[in-house]
Amino acid sequence: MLRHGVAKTAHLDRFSWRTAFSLDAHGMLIGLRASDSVALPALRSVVPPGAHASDASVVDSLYSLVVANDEDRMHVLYEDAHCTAWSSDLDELLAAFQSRLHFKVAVGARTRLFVHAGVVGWRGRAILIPGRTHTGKSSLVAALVRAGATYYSDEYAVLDDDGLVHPFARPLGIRDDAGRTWPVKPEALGANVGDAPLPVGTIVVTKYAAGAEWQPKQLSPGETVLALLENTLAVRSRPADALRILGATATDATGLHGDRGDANRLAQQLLAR
Amino acid sequence: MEPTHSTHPRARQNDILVERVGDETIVYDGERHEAHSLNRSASLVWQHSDGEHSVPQLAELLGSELGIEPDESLVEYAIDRLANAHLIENAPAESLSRRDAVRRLTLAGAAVVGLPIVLSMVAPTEAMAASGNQNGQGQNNNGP
Repeated sequence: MLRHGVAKTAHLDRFSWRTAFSLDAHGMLIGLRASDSVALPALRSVVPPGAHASDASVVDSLYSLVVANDEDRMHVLYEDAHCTAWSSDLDELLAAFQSRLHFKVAVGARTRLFVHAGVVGWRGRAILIPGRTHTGKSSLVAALVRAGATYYSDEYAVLDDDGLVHPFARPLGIRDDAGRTWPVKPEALGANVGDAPLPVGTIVVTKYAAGAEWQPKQLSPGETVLALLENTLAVRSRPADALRILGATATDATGLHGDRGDANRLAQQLLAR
Repeated sequence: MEPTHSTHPRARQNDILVERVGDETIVYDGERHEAHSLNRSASLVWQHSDGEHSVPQLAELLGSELGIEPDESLVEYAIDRLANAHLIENAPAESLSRRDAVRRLTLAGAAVVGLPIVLSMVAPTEAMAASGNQNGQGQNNNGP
């Protein structure tokens, strides 16, 4: 039986869980269980890229999905001991579940450092685009893969101790004209998906500004480290790791900073460098 | 007599992490959860601020490392910026104003090595790093 290492989940543990499994996600142990075995594919669909099966029974984070048996009831998600999301639409709940789970792993990973950034591969090196939500990161990543770059992630740069960036290739979150975000599989954009870690070649610190021309300032390595730190989820809990890994990354990469206009135009410029 | 900041500055040592990046220095303040990037001249002044070296001696060291004439105003300016970032232990109660420090800089020194720069940012919380609440490219402690 799966159980949380710390949280008091006895009120949930008593439930009859029909399917359960655990994962090692970059050094963080995750438990997933559901009240109905039909939900197994749904659970598998939210597994973070890079995670692998584990036989651990005591986990760092435990997710429990109660599947509604009839249309009048809600599907309910628990994170550890607490109810965190519910919906009558299972797909909607799974989207929230995935986002929450990936964030949890990004914060709690022990063997990798997660930086909020889009990543593509180009000619054996990675282009990193650090930035938070609504900075146009996904649009630029999509433009880069349409222009021929290899897709790694539109959400997290996953760095190892040597500063290599690993794929975190979940579907891209593409925003439509109404501001809604839709998951788009990279294959739908004609993208190749990366499977090998890459050294970082270029770090592009930018945000969309209507009518802006890309006239970047080259950042010093120190400025580049600060730009990455600003988007590093575990910087307060793992500052020594963050400084060491990002210092090595910035030393070997070129940091560029400036506003951008059209994503497709910048993609062409970056790939022509 | 105990050396004072104005004569013998001492770099803070407690609750900080230091990473050298080329000729720059990244300092993480674990108490305030702030990160600072020190450019070459600010790094040199900070590294040699051990409470033993006086400002004139630091000016000699800086001049020697950078290949310029010793310039005490450049050191005082760096100390002021470092103190502003809480990286000097024996900082004076009233810091040297930037205007005064800049006025005292010799044109030769500033032109050759550039101003000592300390770029600072508050380390994001987990939620901040994942949200749209972005501060931009850090805060330059050289600002007014």
